[in-house]
Formats: sequence, C-alpha cells, structure tokens
Amino acid sequence: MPASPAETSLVFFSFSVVALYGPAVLLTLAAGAFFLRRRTRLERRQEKHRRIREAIARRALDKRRRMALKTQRQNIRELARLVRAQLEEQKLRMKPYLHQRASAFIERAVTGVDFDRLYALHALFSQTHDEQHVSPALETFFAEER
Amino acid sequence: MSLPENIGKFVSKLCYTIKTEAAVWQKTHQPDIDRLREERLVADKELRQRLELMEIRFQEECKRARMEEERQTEHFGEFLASIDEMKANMLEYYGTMPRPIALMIHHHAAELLKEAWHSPDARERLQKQTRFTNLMLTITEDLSDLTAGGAQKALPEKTIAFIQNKLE
Repeated sequence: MPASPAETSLVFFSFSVVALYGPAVLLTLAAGAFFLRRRTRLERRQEKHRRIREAIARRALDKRRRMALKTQRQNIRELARLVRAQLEEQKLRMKPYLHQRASAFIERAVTGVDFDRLYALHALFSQTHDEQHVSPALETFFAEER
Repeated sequence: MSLPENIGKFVSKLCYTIKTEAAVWQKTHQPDIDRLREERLVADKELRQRLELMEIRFQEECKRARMEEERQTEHFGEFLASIDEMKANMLEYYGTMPRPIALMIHHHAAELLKEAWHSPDARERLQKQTRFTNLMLTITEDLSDLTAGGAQKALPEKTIAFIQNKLE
C-alpha cells in the first residue's frame, strides 16, 4: 500500500532539511571553534598562568594566616587559663547557669580568637570582689554580648 | 520517472557540478593557495615559538613568585617569633606586671602584624606597617629604659599608652 502524500512529504521534508542545512551548520560550528581556539590560544595560556600565580599567592596567604592564628591561639589560651581560674574562684558566688555560660563563653572566645571580650571578662572578674555583685555584673556582661 | 530517481539524479548532478567548480577554482587559485599554505606554516611556527617562550617566561615567573612568597612567609614567621619573644622579655623584665597585660600587648601586636601584611588596601597596609614598627620600637624603648638602670617601673607605660591611643 503506497504511503499517503502527507507522510511522504513529511519524511522528505525532514531528510532534505538535514541534508541541506545539517552539514552547513556543522561546518560553521567547526570553523568557529577552530578559529576561536586559534585566536585565543595565547590568551588561554595567559589566563592559566594568572590562575597559577593567584593560587601560589593564596596558598602562601593561607599559610601565613594559619601561622598567625596558631600564635594568637597560644596567647589566648594562656588568658583563658587565667580566666578559668578566676571563674573557679568565683564559682560559689555566682548562679550555676552563669558559671556554665561563662565557661561556654571562654571556649567560644578561644575558638574564635575573641581576645578583647575575654580580656573584658577577665577585667570584670578582677574588679568584682563583692559576692553580691558577681552575678549581676556577669548578667550585664552577657546582655551586652547579645 | 519516480521521485527518488529524480532526487538521485539531482544529487549526482550537484556533486558533479561542485567537484568541477572546485577543481576549476583550485586550478585558478593554486599560487594563492600555495602562498597561503606557506604563510600558515610560518604563522604556526611563529605561534609555537611564542608559546614556548611564553612558557619559559611563565615558569620563571612562577618560580620567582613561589620564592618571593616563601621569603615573605619566612619574614612573617620571624615577626611572629619576635612578638612571642617580646612577651617573654616583658614578663621577665617586669616582674610584677600582670600576665594579662603582656598577653594583651602580644594580641595587639599580632593583630597589627596581620593587618600590616594582609590588608587588601595598599595605603592601609603601609599605615599598619608603620604602626607595627612604632609599637615594636616603643616596646624596645620601654625595655631598654628598664635595663639602662632608670627608675624601676611596674608596667611598660609607653607601650600601654601607645595601645590606648589607638583605642581612643
């Protein structure tokens, strides 16, 4: 049974489009890619070189940052030891949750190298000797932190 | 004649025409094609040479950059060590000085050093470098005052004043 004209025209329309335009499109794409690659070969090498240079600088910067962090951590750990000792001294004079909160604060300060706040806590413990004032002073301190 | 036969004839005719035209065109433009081919070979050679030279230059630059960064890291490490040493000296020379003050001076110096080396703004970097140098000079001055046999002080007053001046 012969194919209907509609089917034939559809089939041949598709093949003719592929046969006529397909190679032309492929050739254009291939030529474009070839010329683009050729034109930018030097540029691509320069770009790669720039990336390598940046990576070298970044690695060195990271290393220096780590070195500084290590030194600062050692320093702040010394302060944390002092503050922990002060905290233990004041333990009985303060509310239990404040003791816990202060301990957590010290740990956080060491992790984040927040020297100024830890130093402020140390100054607070040094200045507050009165038993009744320790807890309110600490509460104010943590309220400021918030 | 059926439709496929027509298409077949058309295609073969088209191929023949294209081949003939191409042959004629090639024959006419043969000298130009040869010249272009030669030029392309020369250009390829030049490009390869340029790339080779560029590669050598880049390798040298990378090597220099690595050495420079290593040198900078070494200097940075020396500065950090000098800050540690300064803290130890302070605690040694100022016998009654509270330890947290020495730790605070150390922290301040380390922060300044970090800013002096890692700040993205060149002007700010220069300012911080100057400030760091001045801080270290002030600390040295305080320590040399103490060792020179002057009046005994409990604290490195000039250094503390220097740091407080920044805070204000």
